Amino acid sequence: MKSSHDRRIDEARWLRGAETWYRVLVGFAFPANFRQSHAADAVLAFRDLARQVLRQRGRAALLRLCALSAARVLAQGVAERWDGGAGATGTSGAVARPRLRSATVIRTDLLHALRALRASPHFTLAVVLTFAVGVGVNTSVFSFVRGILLRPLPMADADRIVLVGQRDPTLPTGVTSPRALQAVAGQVSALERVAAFAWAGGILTGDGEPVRVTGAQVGPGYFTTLGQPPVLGREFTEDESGRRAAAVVIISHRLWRDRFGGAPDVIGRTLDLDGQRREIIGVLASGLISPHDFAFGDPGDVFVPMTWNAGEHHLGIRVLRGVARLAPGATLERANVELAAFSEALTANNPGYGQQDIGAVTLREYYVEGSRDTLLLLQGAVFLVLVIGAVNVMNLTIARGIERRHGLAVRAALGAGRSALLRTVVLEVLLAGALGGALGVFLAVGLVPFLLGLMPGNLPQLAWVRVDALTAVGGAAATLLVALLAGLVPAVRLLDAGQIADLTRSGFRSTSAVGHRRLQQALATAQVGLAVTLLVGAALLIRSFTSLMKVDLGYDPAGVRVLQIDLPAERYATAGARLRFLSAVGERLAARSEVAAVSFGSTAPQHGLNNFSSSVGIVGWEERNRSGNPWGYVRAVSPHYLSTLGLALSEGRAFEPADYVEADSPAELHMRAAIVNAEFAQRFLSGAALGRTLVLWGDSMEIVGVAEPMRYAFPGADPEPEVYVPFDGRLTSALLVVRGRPGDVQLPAVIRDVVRALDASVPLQRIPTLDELIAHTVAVPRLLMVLMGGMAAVALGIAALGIYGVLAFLVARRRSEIGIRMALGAGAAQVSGMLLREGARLVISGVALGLALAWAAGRLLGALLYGVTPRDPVVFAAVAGVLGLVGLLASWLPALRASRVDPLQALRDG
Amino acid sequence: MSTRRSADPTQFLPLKARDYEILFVLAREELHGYGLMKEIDARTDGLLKLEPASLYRRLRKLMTEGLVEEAGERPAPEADDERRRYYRITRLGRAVLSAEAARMRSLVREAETERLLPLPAKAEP
Repeated sequence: MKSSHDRRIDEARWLRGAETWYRVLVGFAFPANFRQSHAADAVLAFRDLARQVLRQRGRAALLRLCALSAARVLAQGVAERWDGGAGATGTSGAVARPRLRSATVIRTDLLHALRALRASPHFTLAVVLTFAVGVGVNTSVFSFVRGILLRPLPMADADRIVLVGQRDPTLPTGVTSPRALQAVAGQVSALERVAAFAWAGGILTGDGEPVRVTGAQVGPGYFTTLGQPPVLGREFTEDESGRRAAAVVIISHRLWRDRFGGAPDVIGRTLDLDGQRREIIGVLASGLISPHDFAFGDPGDVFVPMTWNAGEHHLGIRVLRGVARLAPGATLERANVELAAFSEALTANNPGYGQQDIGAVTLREYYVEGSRDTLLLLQGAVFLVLVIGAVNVMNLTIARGIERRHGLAVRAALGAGRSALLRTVVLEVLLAGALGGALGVFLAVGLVPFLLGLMPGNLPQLAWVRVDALTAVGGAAATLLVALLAGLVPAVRLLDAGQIADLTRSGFRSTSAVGHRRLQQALATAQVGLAVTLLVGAALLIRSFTSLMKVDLGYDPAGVRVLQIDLPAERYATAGARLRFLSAVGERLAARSEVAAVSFGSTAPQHGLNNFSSSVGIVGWEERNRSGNPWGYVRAVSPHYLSTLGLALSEGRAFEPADYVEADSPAELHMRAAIVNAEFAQRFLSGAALGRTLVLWGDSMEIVGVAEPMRYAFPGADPEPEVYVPFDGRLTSALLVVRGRPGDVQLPAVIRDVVRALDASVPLQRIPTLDELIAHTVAVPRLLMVLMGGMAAVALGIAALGIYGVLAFLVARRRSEIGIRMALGAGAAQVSGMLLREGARLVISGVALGLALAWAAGRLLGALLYGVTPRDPVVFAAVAGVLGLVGLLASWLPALRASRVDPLQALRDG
Repeated sequence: MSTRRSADPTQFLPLKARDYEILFVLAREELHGYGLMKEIDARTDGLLKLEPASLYRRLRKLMTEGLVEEAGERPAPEADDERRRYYRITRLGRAVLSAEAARMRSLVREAETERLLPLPAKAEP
């Protein structure tokens, strides 16, 4: 009983809302004579319609109706005005003499507004610029939000495509073992068509210079699972995969176009990859969306069959990620519940291979997870800038309105109604705002490519970031809305019913000024408050970035360059051959005067190559159940690797030549010594690592040293356990790490010469410095810091203008009062003190408001900060200080002007 | 400044579809605005939906032209018994409506002669 009563009340509330909405629309859109005769009936009829829609189709339908009505009513209103508004006045059958045609009214209004804008170019320029900047940055950031966060992936059923991997730490984006992935395919019923992928690459030889290409090795059905099967040819089959994978290859659209001229008969032709001739069996679509792109930072050109065979490797070998589709009817939640149970069972049944924690995430979430906070923060910040600008426009409009009171009064006296005056004021802001908004959209067209250039580009969605029709329409809509508001608020305030009377009576020298002043002060306070919020955000990001840059990386990046060397398989077939070549490069480089130190390894800081982890056995391990089974990032290094990077050992010794084995057959390969980092020693061995025996990949090795942890990847990330082993040439790719002498610019050329002199067939790549690699790693936080800083600066400028505007206007308005005070003996200091106090009041209340807002919003920023809390007292205090200073400056000029008022002159003018 | 047209019904032809519908429905009974909307929506199977504001624009125009007039206010029983303004068709409105219907009949005849439509005799089984 009660619930039906509640429902009725609820319905009544919704209907009242809809009715009010419609009344406002009709009131706004239609000319007065229509409103008088028919608006009430139309509103009644709309309420009846709304009731029916609400009862039969629910609230969503009602909201849709209301939204649609807006467009229809506005269109009808415009049509009515163009028709000239000729018509009945509402008395039965009577025919009214049409009044002044509304079309003429619109034209007159427009002309008035244009003339007024031309007459005050400063005001016009301020409004246009405000909107150009505000809309420009909002449209730009929105094109990123739309392209990256809102736009669905282009594949059919894209939201059912998931990435499957080890949680790392919460998102399942880490690598897992081939064996575990195969078990997932067989046992997790919520997933189907599981296909694995891993990094792959090689050297493409044939005509011209050898080219290094990258791509992936992918399991059967990988591209079909992604909803993007090859456009030419076919995918790999089960038979083509495995240890003795077939010599076939699928190529990217890019490679097909550039190397094969887009030949339609490319299927069946061959290419030479790492000296192996492979038959091309497929060509992929252009603009392929796939997780390997995101995982490896390159869309890839060559795709080869999966060589990791689940049957041959234990669960500790974690090298693959998987893609899959949710089974029909299954949800992501169910898949993750099943995967959790599966992982638990797998871990329990296979002790000694580490914790299995496999999960699934939609491909889309995988892509956007890292950028969501950043983008939303930016969108919020640019929106604040627009709001601050709009508030400024409101303040300017009020000031202007008061200044032209005579003109308005004359029009009012000549019979212009309240609505006509209102329209004039609103139209002015609307026109100038629209012009600014249009400029803003153009600005965005230029700004977006610029911003794209600053982004480190491994997000595939960046390709969709552009100012298109929809973002432009969004920008235009935002402009109109904000401009309407920015015009309407002051216009309504200026033309309050009582004040129209004032206007006509006295050309107003009236008391209403007090009300305006309060509104102006409130607006200036709001501006300062919003600017403070932005400033706090920017200052936090700056502090976060500086502390990120101050992190002890564990190594010394100065002067170190890194070259990736990929050895062609046909010439360097054995581990021994590879080791000998790299050692020769090292020896020759060490002999050069430009080189301070040289070494090589499977990995290097800030470089993605071979950066994998593995579970590790420890003989006689008793620290069980403390922090999970031992694991670590495995780094195979040459003897002087750690010292080249400037890393001292905290215990034990470095690798010696005796630790290295030069082997030409896999059977002879084994490792004897290992160095672990302090993190590994602490986490798994309570710090007592020296002399213990590790088991890794079947080899037993003694821990001979303990190294300090290095920040291999993001400087802000926590240190991870690491295991260094002697580089024995098992891997075909290695990184040459060379420290040059200070100020030597010849180093890249020297390195190239040495490598080329030894073997010209080894492809050479760019040789970046470690500092460049670090800059790339921290590009996003830096970009965020720069953008937020820029916007905070703009906001600060506008807020300062706002304070200045209010006070300057106050001085102008109160010139005669000031004159009287001075005539009665007030000194210049007292007068300027009065103004400064006024300014201080604005600043203090604004800062208080802003700090409160920033305090409340702190949580939003938390995830993006490093080494500083979102409510950092230093930042809050500094921002308050800066604002105080700027506020003082902004108050200074008007105060100075006030103190120079000539009492006689002021009284005479007054 | 336009004044009232003379009472020749053919001057108003051709009628717009929605004007025709309004006149047609009003020719059967006096109705208020929402009733008209519902009736027209039902009659045309939703083909012609009139938004309240546009309905009242049409009504106003039809009243200006003297085709429709007000029939006073009274409660609408099917709504919430609130008072609604009712409308009815004028004599001129009726004349215009039948003139329009006659015009359409001649259109239909032409279409039949040109074999664009099956003749009614053939259409019936």
